[in-house]
Formats: sequence, C-alpha cells, structure tokens
Amino acid sequence: MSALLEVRGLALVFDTPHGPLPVLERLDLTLSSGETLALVGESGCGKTLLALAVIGCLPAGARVVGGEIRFRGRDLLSLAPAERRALCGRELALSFQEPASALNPLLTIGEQIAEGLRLHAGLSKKAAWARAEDLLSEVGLEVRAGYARRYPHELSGGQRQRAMLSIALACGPSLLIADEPTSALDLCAQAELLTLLAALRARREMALLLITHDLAVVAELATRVAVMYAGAVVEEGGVLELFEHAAHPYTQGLLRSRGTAALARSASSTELDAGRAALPANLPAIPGQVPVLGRWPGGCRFHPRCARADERCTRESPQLLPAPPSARAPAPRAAPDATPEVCAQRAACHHAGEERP
Amino acid sequence: MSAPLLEVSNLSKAFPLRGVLRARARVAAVTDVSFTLAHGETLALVGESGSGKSTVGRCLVRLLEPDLGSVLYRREPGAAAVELLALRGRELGRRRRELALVFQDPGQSLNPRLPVGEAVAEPLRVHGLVRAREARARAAQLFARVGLEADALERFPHEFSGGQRQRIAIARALALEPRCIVLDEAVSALDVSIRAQILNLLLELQRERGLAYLFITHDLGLASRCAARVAVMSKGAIVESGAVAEVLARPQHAATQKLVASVLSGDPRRKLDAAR
Repeated sequence: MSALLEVRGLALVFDTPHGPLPVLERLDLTLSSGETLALVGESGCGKTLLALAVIGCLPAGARVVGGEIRFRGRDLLSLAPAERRALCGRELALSFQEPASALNPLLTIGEQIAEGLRLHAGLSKKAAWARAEDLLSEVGLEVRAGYARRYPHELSGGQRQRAMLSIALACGPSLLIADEPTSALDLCAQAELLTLLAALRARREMALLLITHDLAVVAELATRVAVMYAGAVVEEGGVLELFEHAAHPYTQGLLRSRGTAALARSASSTELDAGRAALPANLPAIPGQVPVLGRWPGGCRFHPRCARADERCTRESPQLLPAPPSARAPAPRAAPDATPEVCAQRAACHHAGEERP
Repeated sequence: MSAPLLEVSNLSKAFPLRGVLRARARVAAVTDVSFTLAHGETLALVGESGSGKSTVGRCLVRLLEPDLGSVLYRREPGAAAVELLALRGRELGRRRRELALVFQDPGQSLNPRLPVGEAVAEPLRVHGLVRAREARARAAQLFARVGLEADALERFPHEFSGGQRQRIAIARALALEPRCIVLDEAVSALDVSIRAQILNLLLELQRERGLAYLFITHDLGLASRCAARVAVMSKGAIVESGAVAEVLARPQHAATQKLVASVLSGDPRRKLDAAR
C-alpha cells in the first residue's frame, strides 16, 4: 500500500535579519490512509510549522529550502498554486490550535463552513448552508440550538474547537491535520473532544495527523507516534512499542513525566485526620530547557539534557536507525493497515540499545 | 488538629450582567463556599471551566471583593485570627503580603515593558521593605532560588520560554515571603516535561518554607500529584471534598464523576472509551 502523505528530508528556515534560521532539518514522516500518526514535541520544536508547510500556509518569513512533501505521490511543493489550492481544504485539511484566533469573528459559524463548500464542492448557497448544519450536528452541535447562526464569541472553547473541526471536515478530506486540538480545553471538554475525534476518524476512514505535546492524548488516539525534538524526529514507532519500550532517552523522559493520576502517593483520610499526611515527593522531570531556535547544541541536540550523554554525543549527530533488539519491543506488532517497514521502531540515539541508567 | 491558616466560610460573589435591559441582573459566580487550609498544606480546588474556582482564589487575596462571607487568617497556628475581609488601608497592605497569587499565563501577568528583575523587585519597594539597592540583591537571590541565571534580571518577559516565565512569576510571588500562595492554573499552560519541573520547584519551596498552596486546576490527575486534599467545585459551589485518593476512587457527586472520568490514563491499553 502506498503512503498517503510522505515527507522526505524536509528542511525549513525562518528568514531573519541575521540570516536564515533553521527550524526543521531532514524531517521524514510517512502516513498511510486511515492511520493516526501522532507528532509529539514541546513548544518551539517546529511541529506546527510542519503542519503549515503541508497545507501550504507558511507564515511570512518561513521558507522550505529542501526535501519534498508528497500527497498521494504528487509533490505538493512543485504544484502550481491553483492546483495546490484545489487540493488543500478539500483533500487535506487543518484544524488550527487556537479556534478563537483562527475563526473569523465577523462571520457566523455556518457561513464559515459554507464558504469552503461553495468554493471546493461548488454547492449553491442554500445547499452549502444545509450541509453546514449537517456537519455541525456531526460534531455534536445540534441544529435546533442554532449554532450555525452564532458567532465565534458566542461559543465556549470546546464548542469553538468543534466548529473548527466541522470547517476542516466540510469537504470530506482524506487527511485531517489536528494541531493541538485539546490543549486549550479543560479536562472534561478534552475527553469529549477526543472521543469525538476517534469516532469521526473511524466513521470517515480518514487519516489523522495529530500534533500535540501531551502523551496522554497520544495514547487515546494514535496508532503510530513520531517524537520530535529541536527540528528533527528522534524516535518513531507503533504506539504500544513506543509507550512500553521507548528507546530514546527523551521519549523515556516524556513518558515518565506524563500526567497520570499518581494515586499511590495520595494520602488517605485517616492520615489526614492524624495530621501526618506526607508532603508529596518530587515528580520525574526532564532537566533543562528546550533549546531555542537557531541555538541548537552540536552533536545530538538532546545531549545537554540527557543523563546518558557522553563525549560522542556532543560531537556526532545520531541518525534515525532501527532501534536495536535490546531496546525494542520483544515482538513488534505490525498494524494491519501499515507495511512492516513503516511500523518498525526507529530511534536517533547513540545509546539506544543500552540499559536505562 | 491545630487552628488552620485560612478558614473560609460562606463566601459568595455575584457579578452584574452587562446590558441596558439587564441593569439589575446579577450572575452568581460563587455561592456559599466554605473550606479550611492548614499551614504548609496544599488544597486542590478542582472544577470545570466556569465553576467559580478562580473567583474564590481572587476573593481570598482581595483582588475581588466578595459580597458575603468570612476569611479568618492565622499567620501561625497559635496566633489570633484576623478577618481578612474586614481589613482596610495600611493593615490590608500588610496582610496582603502574606498571600500571593500566581496566574496561569505569565505572558499576560508580567509587564512586557519592565525588565523581569524590576518586576520581582517592585513589590519589595512598594511595600517599603528594602531600599533600592537591596531590592536588586534580593531579586537576584530569588532568581537563583527558582533556577534562573543572574543575567536574566535585565531581560524582558518576551525573551523567556513559558516555563522560565512561570519561574519569574513564582519568584515574584515569593518576594514578600508569603505564608500562602494561590496557584491559579499555574502549570496548566506548560509543556508536560516543563510542567513536572515547575511542580517540583513548587513542592521544594513548600517543604523549605512551610508554604500553604491553594492549587486551582481543572485537572484532577494533576491535583492528585501535588495535593493531599481536594475540594470539587461545580456551578459556584463546593459539591464534594476530602482526601484526594478517596475522592478519585469513590466520587460521589455527578460533577466529580465527570472530572474523574476525564482523567486520561496515559496508557494506550486503557483508553477513555474502555473506561466509560
């Protein structure tokens, strides 16, 4: 089966008065039809810019300087602007991180959904409006409540996120890129939206590129995971392999600091009444800061924050290679809809095969 | 149990609705909220967006004036109680030092045109605690304590990452040596790996200085990692409270059950749908 989206050696820079600043370097990603790939990374690692590069909405100053982005085998970067516009918004769609700023405050939600339908699907005004109402009820915003006639400011954060999803879904894309769909929401709204996304993905059989910094969100939706650090993918693999047998120290650190309910540490009420509830112990954290764009350390970019780093790590940049058997899941479980090559776990670390410190 | 640091009783706050026709209509944000906070303790105040938890935090430090209720404050367990809501003028200023507030987004709560060292030294000068030169030295000490380099003092908020800005906000809250800090979603906007760092810093400061925290969050999972007791708010009222482990294991109120069901396991083998 051929890949739906293939990113090969993508390099992207920001033009600054001091010269071009590299944001992405040699980035590779493959996404098959119907698959959910989670792209995980911290703020400023370049994951949103990747999404914008794929749909062709890079901000001023950002420029692709190398590599290719293939969608169904066609290189998006070499398409004529009109051809690319015809594809983006119809075949591949993006739901933005902050619906409050991505939605047009002067248009009703219904008008914003209908706009894409009239443009891409050539529907009449009336037909587009009817379809917009259907789409809103598909994302759980009931027609009877009149959401189509409301303005963005009249909706809650969770409702705005749903409205944006219905705009992205309007033309029935085969790839939906969801950029931090839940990070602005509270936990209850997040749980509802994740359940909705899982249902939509299954019903529409579309591929999902989920961009997030939260591994707990990844665990809910993804079939495959790519972990980004400072402009490059440092580890990728199937979701179970990666969560249970992470080979890269950064992935391992992220997994340790994930926000699970640590019930064992909580005091019981008998201890509380006795006034001897122990103060909670420190949580596992990754020391240090995410390196600033353009001030990436040499060698392995993670080495200043890594407990395993040695002299080689400061010198030599590690390649993304199949994880050694000792670090890998015992029996890699091949997803039914992916080729074995795509599913293999790969890590960019000189120490990937070693015991954890 | 000894006398608590804060005893909040029957706190209520309503906001007027805007609009000509609704001139006298008010919406109740907080209704009849009561709880206690012991010295050196963390109480998590948990609820959905709009449940009134931030309003409670702001009433405690008197950024908002509550309509009704009482907040008794004891600096030490043996000290006489002071009614915080009755304080005026100089006395209010003196007591206000002892309660600090850290907001969710330091990008908005720090003055963008003030070097961050000034932002931390400012409360010391406003309260007349130290002279100008000492204020700078004190700010440098605080920066070192929260894990920032001394050369950061001269820089502006936009030059820092989210985690570093939250460290600055914590340094500022610590400047007046408070007894209690209201942490209003103080770590919610941070990346997961940085969130653990900031939580650890808060926990270390608590052990070191005997600080009490009112930890306001929508994330019950997060609350369970740093607080022993939790109070759950829904529609402006506290609907359930108790030991975190028990509330998580046996949530009684529907609002609590919804919050518990929304905590993600972080494990691809235990997804939301399976739990429901």
